[in-house]
Amino acid sequence: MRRFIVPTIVVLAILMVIGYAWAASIKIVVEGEDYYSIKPSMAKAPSQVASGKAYIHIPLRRPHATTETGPADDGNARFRVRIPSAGVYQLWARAHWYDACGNSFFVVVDDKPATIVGEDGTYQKWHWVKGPRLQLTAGEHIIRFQNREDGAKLDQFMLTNNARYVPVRAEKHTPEYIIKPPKNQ
Amino acid sequence: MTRRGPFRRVHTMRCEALLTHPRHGLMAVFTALVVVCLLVPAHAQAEPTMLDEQLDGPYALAGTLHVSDPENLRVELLVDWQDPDNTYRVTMTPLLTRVERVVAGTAVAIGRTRAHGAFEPEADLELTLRREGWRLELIVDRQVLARAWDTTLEGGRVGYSVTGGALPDAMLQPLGEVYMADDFMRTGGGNTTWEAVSGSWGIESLRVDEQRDRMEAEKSANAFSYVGRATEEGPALATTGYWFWSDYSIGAAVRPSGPEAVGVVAYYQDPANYLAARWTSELSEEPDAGTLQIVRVAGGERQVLAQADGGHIPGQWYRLQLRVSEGVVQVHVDDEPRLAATAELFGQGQAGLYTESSEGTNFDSVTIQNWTTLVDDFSEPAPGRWSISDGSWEQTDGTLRATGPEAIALTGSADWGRYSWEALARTEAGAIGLAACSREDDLFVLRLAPAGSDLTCAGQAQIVRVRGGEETILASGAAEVRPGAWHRLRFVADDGLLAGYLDGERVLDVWHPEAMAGQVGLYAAGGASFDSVYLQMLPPPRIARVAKEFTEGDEHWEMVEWASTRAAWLKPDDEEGAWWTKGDYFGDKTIAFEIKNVESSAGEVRLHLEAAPDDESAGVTLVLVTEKGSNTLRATLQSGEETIEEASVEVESTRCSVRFERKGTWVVTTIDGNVVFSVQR
Repeated sequence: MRRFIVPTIVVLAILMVIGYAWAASIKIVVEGEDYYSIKPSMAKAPSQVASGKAYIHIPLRRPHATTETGPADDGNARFRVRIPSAGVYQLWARAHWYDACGNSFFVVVDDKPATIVGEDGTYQKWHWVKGPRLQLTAGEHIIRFQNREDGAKLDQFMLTNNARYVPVRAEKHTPEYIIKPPKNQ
Repeated sequence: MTRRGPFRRVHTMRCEALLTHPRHGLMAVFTALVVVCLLVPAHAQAEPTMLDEQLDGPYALAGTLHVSDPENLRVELLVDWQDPDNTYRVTMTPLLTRVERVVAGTAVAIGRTRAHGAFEPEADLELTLRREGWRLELIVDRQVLARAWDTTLEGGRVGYSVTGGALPDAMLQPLGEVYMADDFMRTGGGNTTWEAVSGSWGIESLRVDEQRDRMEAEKSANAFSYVGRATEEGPALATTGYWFWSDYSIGAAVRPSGPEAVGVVAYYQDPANYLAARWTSELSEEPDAGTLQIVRVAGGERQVLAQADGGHIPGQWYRLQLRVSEGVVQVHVDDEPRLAATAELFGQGQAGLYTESSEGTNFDSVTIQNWTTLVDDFSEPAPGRWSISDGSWEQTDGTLRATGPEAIALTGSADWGRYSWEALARTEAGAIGLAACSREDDLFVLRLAPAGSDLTCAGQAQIVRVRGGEETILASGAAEVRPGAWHRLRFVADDGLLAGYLDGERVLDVWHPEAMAGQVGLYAAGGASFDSVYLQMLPPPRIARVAKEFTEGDEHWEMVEWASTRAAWLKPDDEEGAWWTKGDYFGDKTIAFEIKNVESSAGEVRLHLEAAPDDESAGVTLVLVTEKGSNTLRATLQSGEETIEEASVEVESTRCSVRFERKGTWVVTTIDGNVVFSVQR
């Protein structure tokens, strides 16, 4: 009988540790300027009010688009993010929209189809926009924010496994989850 | 606690037995590990579990309260915890809810509370403790159980302990500004702003011609609206925002298409629990036709909290607004206050749109933003809400009474700015008044006294600044206060303008650059009573849409010609003539702009306020002159040919901001935030 006690205890202990880890709330906060690579027309810009004093954006075109006829280019920023544990993650974006024709990005996660983030009616104001819920495995993932409309700005994005949590102001940066190219490290 | 003692003893004995045999050393280690793991939750119930995370700014402690032992349930929540002797402590049992401010180990009960009552076994209840500005608010099971106001302690950790239950998913949710606007100018997907809870919802063109189905945004300044349609299952409801939204107003342009009820929703929890402004039509054949209602839907049951006559006319656009804050619910139609009620349900929740029409109701230009109020009828005590600055104050018989030669009681947040503060007040022979913009021994007082009083303000209304105990009379005027009669006083603080009202009539005003923000209060001299105090924040000033059409001509080149004929400005006939706005602007107004590159060239700008194109003597004119190579502006305030005041202003950077304002009876000019002219005119 005693020979089963040790394995049972070990299994119990491991299960409890896994349970606590699984239950822990994870927040991965990435600054717009944390990109691994960037392709014009996506560009980095300084700011006194954005978190980290910078953001990335699709600069306004002149004339600014007045219809949603599609982007002029595929300018984008690619982010490499290390997910600590597998699960469902909610994506949030801290964005600033110029107007109704400059209020969205495409978001592409790994090789999945693009989804739209934005298209809300809060203009000329930094605010958090809810994105897609993502089923992510543990390990590295590539997240791409891509041009959909000019005049769209991105300050931060966040991935969290806490479905109830809603960001309301700039979140604390978590560089431990972000992979940067060697020159930026 | 009763479980934990024997539980721990049994395992200790077992560990000793295991350690007697060397082979079992490893087993003992793991057993100890398991025991520790098992003990952690039990221990957490007795001693507070402190959350690792700390948030700057307002936040809420939120989680699901699981009730396992209803009779012995005891929840203790700690916020702004600095150490065990300095914290706010909120305690809840079935029979008691208590909020305490603990400073240097001494606990003092604060705020207004009520007990939850008996809990159901194995119930899972949402629990939220909000710490926001000067307020603490406990919401359990969708009821506001406690509301307290105090700023003694700020910052610190958050913790909790539960006996007879558990709070397994406690988390900190940051709170912040509530703001959302939607003009529904979109055609593509990806929108997650609105969730259709019931009925059918979609964005549709507002056009009624053959181009309606093309959904061409560029062919109209306001192409689309959000349309809800009820179904056989019931009303259509769409929600937006987040579960923790509190103290806000939701306003929407609404066009009912038929006689069915339409509305807007606040504090939405689920389809069976929310507050709503519900508006029926004059043309309805239902029993509640032609009424505006505040309804609460709780457990699926609808209850009318307040009702007023007057329904909508189908096909007409209206602006419907629902405001909720601290248990106060108000409804405005076309910016007119129409209805008010109190409701302590929910305390937080999403906002929404509502219609009972199956033909469809158009919603547009939705704005949701913070709305703060302070209401007190002194019917029940609220320890900590008022701080006595001077004199003696007593809450009795539903009033707040002051005695002594001079008495001041303050409340609210020092950050408050731009508000209207009012109260009912009466005195026999003393003075009654209101305080505003109170910050660190500096406040502004509106005070009035009956003619027979022996006070300096007898028969007058005065606005006085009291700073470091020294009084300065800023304005005074005749006012009739009847001894022993209730009077409604109102004191408006609006970006430096202080205006005093007696029984709805404006009696005096003054502009002072330091009257920008601060607490509010009550003032009495020689004994007075107060009742029904009410504070409301002033709505943000509306900006006339004149600048955008001119400054963004490059970006909206296709609109320039269109704008030049239909914008708010009239182009002058000669090159040096004035541009006049087409509109008439009534009441207070501000012209704000920047002068760039002050040193770069010589020039002159003339701004006419309350003027008329064909009458050069009308209104007030501000003339600003720049000289090349100089960072000094020459400013002149004129009325026709008369020079009112002149000044030279040195600006620090190459660009400067100018504000030219009508504030009550005052005309104010500021450059880079410094007052250049403030004249009563």
